[in-house]
Amino acid sequence: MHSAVKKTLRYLSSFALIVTLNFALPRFMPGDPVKNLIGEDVYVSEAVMEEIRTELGLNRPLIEQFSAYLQGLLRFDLGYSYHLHSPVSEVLQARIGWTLLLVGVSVVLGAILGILLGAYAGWKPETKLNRGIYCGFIAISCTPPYFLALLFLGIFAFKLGLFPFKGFYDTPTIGSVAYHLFLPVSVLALFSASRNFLVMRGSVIQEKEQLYALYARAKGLYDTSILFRHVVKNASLPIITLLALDFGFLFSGALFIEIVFSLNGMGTLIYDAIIGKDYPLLQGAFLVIALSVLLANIFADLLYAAVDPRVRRPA
Amino acid sequence: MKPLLEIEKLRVSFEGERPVNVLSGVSFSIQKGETLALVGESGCGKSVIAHAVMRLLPSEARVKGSVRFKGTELLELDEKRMSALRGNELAIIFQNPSHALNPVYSIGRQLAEPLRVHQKQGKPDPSQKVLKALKQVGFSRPEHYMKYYPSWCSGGMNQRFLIATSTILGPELLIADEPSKGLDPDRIKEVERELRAHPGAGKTALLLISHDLGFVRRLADKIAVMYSGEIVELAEAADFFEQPLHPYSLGLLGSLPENGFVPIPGSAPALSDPPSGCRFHPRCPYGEKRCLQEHPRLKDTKGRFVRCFLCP
Repeated sequence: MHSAVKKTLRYLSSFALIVTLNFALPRFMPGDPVKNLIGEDVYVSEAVMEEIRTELGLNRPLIEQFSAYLQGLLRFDLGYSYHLHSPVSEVLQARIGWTLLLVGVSVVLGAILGILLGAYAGWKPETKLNRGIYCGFIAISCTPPYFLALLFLGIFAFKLGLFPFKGFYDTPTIGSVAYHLFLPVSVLALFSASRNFLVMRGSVIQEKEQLYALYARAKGLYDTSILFRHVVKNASLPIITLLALDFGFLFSGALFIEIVFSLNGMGTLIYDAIIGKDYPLLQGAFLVIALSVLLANIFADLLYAAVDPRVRRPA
Repeated sequence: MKPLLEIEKLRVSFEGERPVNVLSGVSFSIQKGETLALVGESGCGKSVIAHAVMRLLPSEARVKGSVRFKGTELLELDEKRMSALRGNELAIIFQNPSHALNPVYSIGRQLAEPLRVHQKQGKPDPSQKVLKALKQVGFSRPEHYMKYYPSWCSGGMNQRFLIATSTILGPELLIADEPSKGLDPDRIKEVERELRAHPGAGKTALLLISHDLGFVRRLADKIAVMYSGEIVELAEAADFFEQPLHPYSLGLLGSLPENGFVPIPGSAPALSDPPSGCRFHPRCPYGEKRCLQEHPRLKDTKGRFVRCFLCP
């Protein structure tokens, strides 16, 4: 009970910090947002600029701006994008689904692949096959995902012509979504798998020397049944923590991959927003990403408690 | 009668920069239903015998000699056939029960595992047997404890879970490695009771490893005293406690509280560098000149075996 309260407090303070930073960061940036909005080549009189500033509330004291910002958040109002001419929340809503699909599928596939291969590689690390897989995954984990994406695009789409270059913009059907997402998901899943693989392999090498694994053998379990019935569950506990920590990292990787594959998600949205200096949109996107990483961590904490009885008490 | 377990000239060494001989030619046998206790100080190779019989030694161990179980040479059995024996006909209780149990699985699941591994599909629900086994080791609410995890339980409780798990199939040979270690006297009494009362206890032979002579005295039929990787005395328990022959055995009994708490001077030699001649000579109060040079053999004297020049 005590630790649950502590954890909740910790997450609440993280949440408060995220919201505050998200409010503060664009206001610390150099330049005048109004000038930025109008454009550098256009001449407007001081009076007009002051008028726009009042309209946007930028001439009010920071504390008033902050309270207005918080009130907006409570109504899911993330501001207005002057470049896309629509509320930020609507723009994000239309795009985030695709990114979450890409990241979600990749994280799940990467976890399964990394845990399975890592378990085998840690169980018998001396075999040639496992050593080869180990080297391969080290190479993948050292490669930036966007470079891997370019490589995949070059080989599978350009050279072999197996997959499309660009994302889908027509009405999506399951088939066309799978067709267009295959390469980006493969890249991100492989990248995620490589990180899980390395942790899982080391973890299995360590766990298989534990006394419970020897006792499992003494009970009559044979070879890989010791691995799967006893070692894997213990060894994958660090993976849960890693998945949560990695979620933000993979999310940022996904943004680059989306740009490479011209997918219609948050990546291209943020890219265009940075190029066009669309600060309300950037601010909204950052908030949503930060919150999803926070949620992933909460989820990992809950999962950990469900899997490891050592962090629970008897009923 | 043919013995259940026959160990002959068992030698175990660990490879490394300098190979270490941990067992140098150990021979003894256990009859069906008999209890043999291996006693001696820590580091004399008792646990290595247990692990060698179960074929659970790490890969850097080199094992020579012969271990026959019901006539089958265990050292030549492949891993698959060996695992069919383990937990079924041959079972072991490790020291350090809290680490031998898997932290992330429930007690009930871990207890049922030997049943699931060794019994064919289609048998009645194993939980009845598990409940019975838990009752037998003294849990009055077994259905409650089946849902527990090792980290929620004390070391004494985990010890009883371990005994229940290892004996659930009524093995023909049970090896208990220091089952009384770190327990208070009341708990030791309980362990004693459980080692006698588990299912099939009547026909189960017990290889008991302990340095607690009081505990051993109440359970064992035969005693084998080990010193520095070899047996120095092997005798019926009654004869041994009445009249120990080897100077080391005398020293061990003399160090018991009821016999005056007199410790044996010095400490056991490192297995990597055993003394020349009789391995006990640096600590022996009766040592002669030839004890320093010649290594004594295990002699048969009136039905008991002693490794000492001074014994008749």
